[in-house]
Amino acid sequence: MTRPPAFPALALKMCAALVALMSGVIAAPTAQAAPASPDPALVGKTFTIATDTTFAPFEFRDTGGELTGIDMDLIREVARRGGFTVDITSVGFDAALQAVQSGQAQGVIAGMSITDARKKVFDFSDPYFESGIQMAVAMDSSIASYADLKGATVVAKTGSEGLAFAQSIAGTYGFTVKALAQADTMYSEVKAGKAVAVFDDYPVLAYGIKQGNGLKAVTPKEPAGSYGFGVKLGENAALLAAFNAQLAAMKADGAYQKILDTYLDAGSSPSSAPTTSGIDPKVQGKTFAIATDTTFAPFEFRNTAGELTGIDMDLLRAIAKRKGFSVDIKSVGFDAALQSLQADQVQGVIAGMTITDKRKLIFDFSEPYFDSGIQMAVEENSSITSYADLKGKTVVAKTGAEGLAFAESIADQYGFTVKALAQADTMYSEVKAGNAVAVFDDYPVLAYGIKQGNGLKAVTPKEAGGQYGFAVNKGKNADLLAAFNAGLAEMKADGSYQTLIDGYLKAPQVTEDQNFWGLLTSSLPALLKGLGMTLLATAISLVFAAILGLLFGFFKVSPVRVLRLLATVYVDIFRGTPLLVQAFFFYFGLPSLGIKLDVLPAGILTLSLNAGAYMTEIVRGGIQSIDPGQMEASRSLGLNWLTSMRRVVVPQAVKVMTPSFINQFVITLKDTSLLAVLGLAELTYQGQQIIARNFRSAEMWLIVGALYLIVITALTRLSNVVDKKVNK
Amino acid sequence: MTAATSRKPLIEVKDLHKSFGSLEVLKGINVTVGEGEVVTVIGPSGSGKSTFLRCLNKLEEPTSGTIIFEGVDLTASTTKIDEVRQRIGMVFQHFNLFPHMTAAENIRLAPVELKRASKAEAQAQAVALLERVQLADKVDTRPAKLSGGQKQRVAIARALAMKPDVMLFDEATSALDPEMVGEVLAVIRQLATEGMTMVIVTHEMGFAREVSDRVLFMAEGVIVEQGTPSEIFGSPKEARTQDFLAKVL
Repeated sequence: MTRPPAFPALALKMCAALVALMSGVIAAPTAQAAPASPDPALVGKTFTIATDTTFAPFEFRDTGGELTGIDMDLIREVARRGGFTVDITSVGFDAALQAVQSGQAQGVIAGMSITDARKKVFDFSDPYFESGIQMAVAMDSSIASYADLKGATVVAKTGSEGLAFAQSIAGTYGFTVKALAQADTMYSEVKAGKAVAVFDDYPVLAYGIKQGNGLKAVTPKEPAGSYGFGVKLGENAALLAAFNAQLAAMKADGAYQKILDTYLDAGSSPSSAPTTSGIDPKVQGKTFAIATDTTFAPFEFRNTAGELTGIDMDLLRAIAKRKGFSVDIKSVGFDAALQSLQADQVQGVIAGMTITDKRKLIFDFSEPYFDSGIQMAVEENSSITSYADLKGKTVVAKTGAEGLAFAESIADQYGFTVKALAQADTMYSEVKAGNAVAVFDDYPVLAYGIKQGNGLKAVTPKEAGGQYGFAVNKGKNADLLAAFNAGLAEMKADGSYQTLIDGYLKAPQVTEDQNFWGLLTSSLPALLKGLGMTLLATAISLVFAAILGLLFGFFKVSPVRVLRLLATVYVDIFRGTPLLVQAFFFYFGLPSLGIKLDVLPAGILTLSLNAGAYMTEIVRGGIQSIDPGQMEASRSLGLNWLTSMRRVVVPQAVKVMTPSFINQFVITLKDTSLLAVLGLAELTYQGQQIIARNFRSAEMWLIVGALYLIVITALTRLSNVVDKKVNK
Repeated sequence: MTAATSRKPLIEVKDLHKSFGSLEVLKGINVTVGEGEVVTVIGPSGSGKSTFLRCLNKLEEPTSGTIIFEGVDLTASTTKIDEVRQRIGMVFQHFNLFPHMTAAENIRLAPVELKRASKAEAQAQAVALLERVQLADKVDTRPAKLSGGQKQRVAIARALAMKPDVMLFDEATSALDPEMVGEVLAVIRQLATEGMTMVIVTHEMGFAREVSDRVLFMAEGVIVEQGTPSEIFGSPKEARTQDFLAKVL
């Protein structure tokens, strides 16, 4: 499981600076052949160990409220054997990492994957758990392999390795992947039949299955990250050594396996992944699996049509074509790409990867195909042209990036402050908003953004930086590497290489997103489609809401007590709970009662019932606003209650209610935007999707807002005209 | 206290009580209204006159007691009140015309809805009734364009459209400007001469004296005294009657 690191900004800055100073130093400690006897230096001491709140089966609270799980049993056994005490503090994953960085805890054990990024700020123990991705399906499902997924939908957790893996094979096996933020939502979708399978970390899956969540795992586990116990970089070495020593001892005497067996079914952890390595003498006619990052524009990213494109992709495909081999691109994310290569699941990686000495230890690199470097960019109208102009100002750079290290290396010299930000788009927004005067980033990334019209300009020459290379596993696929080098040399020689690069970095403004009008015209088709969905959902919902409102409104003023009570309960429920909660219940809750609803019907049901409750009150208010003498006069003539309502009270009440009806109509139209969270492809959802691609939040939300405003204003005016014509 | 009448009884009220919560408004009313009789009910404000009248067609539910109308007990749960009300016309202090309908539509609503007449027949009847109340030119006029007196005359025509056996008037002239009172009273007077049975709650003492066969004086939820107009207005026996008449005359 790879979870996004969330360190305090200060710690990050310090750590990044440290990394800059210590470049080349391999932080990962090697396993010591320590004896399993307690380290005298630790005996009797107490260490504070931070962990996650809930990440079953690694840490969770049992029915008695006790913190338990693999991590907990493991660290407690290690401490017992080592003669020291641990004080577990269960604070959540992000907070646990921060606690160690700030010195509030000495170690963290939280199902944490050992990643390069984390190694910059943590010293890790030997891996104590090999995770991996597995596919699970509903208990009664007949799906047994990836091939059975053709045409179906699967789910995985947003940002997880399971998602990256599922997406990497989705094209091959012809299924659709839906990303969901919540683990429980994910399992609900499978159980409710909205998705046929779920991809997740195998221990998490295995534990859930053991707990009887109604799923079964059907595929062997695909390799993913290793979990390690972490201490702050350069500190608590003795604790780390003790952990490694006792872990080794526990593995040797079976105590380790016993802990795992407690939480995971012995049979459900299949052996590690099949290896698919093989050295081929020549490349012609062969197909190579090449892993890449998911999004690293302009090297790899999805274009408006959703196809994977970019410098890396074009280059690799061009070379493959020249050399007569085929490539099967697997877009799995940077870390996963490297891991896939190490596991020999793919034959090569091309992912804007800098050639470093450290990486050279495990990979063979091609000749550099791109010289990167750091550049400084400022706001289009800024007068800043050199580092010297930065005195006393603040600049931004991306967390963990070379740009940050470079900026910090010259910050003192030029007297400016560096702010590290995790998101690229945030970084550019800060500069555009004037919160920072400049941004330091890889020059191709900057150049691409500028070309996309992000409102910045590059002002400094590029600083010498890393070179990007294509990589194969150490000592393997030499033919592929040779073919790549030969193809690259040919392309450089005949100019097609430069054409390709220029296409992404130097071409004039040809993309749609250059200016506001370009943005508008390119996004309008998708937005209008969304608007159509918004209007459809609104119209259908209002019809049902009007029926419900009339029915329950009459119930509310009826002489029959039971009907009044029924209407009151209905209104109280739907006015007394948030629309969003209702939507979640109808979409995610009803399937467990055997009622399966797609997004649109579930959304319409929610809006209808919700608006119906308000309509009920409008109808009740409208009817009660009519002089009771009207009803009395009608009844005194011998007309019954219903006829009196129909002929005398309602025609008058309608006039009173019309403005409120129009108001409710507008509210319901706007409320459809909440259904974006269910994935209903209405206007707001479409806006979100477009922004996810072009990061133009301000312009896009302005456009989306304007569309709502235009439609609502127009429809309100129309309603008022009709109202005046009919109810004069 | 006797309900002295030699006419055939149309409405017989026996020991009628009505309470609103803990407030007892009617404390045992006994009275009989004969066929063709015109009975006026007078008395100070809050004496229960209107409540008594509204009980007669069950716009108010009696707390106890019986009301026999044309031999049918209105307080029995089996009585279909909507059918009974078709034979009891009522005119309200505030007219209660239906503002979204023209005068003719107001009048023909009940006959058409209750299948007493076709729309065309009901329209002809409405026009005839409006002529009868001197409003032949207001057939297609909405209530908002009518004066108070005109509205009340349309309301009377609306009640008459169901050809009721009795008409109840609940302070029919109280909400009118003085110059319009006369035109409404003229219509009621005409109905009296035509032999319509009527129960009239009114503050118009002169009119009560002129038009009534019998006058009931109510105070504090009971009928204090009743008799012919000359008995009540000429020589009231009860002190409360004398006090009241001294104040209003």
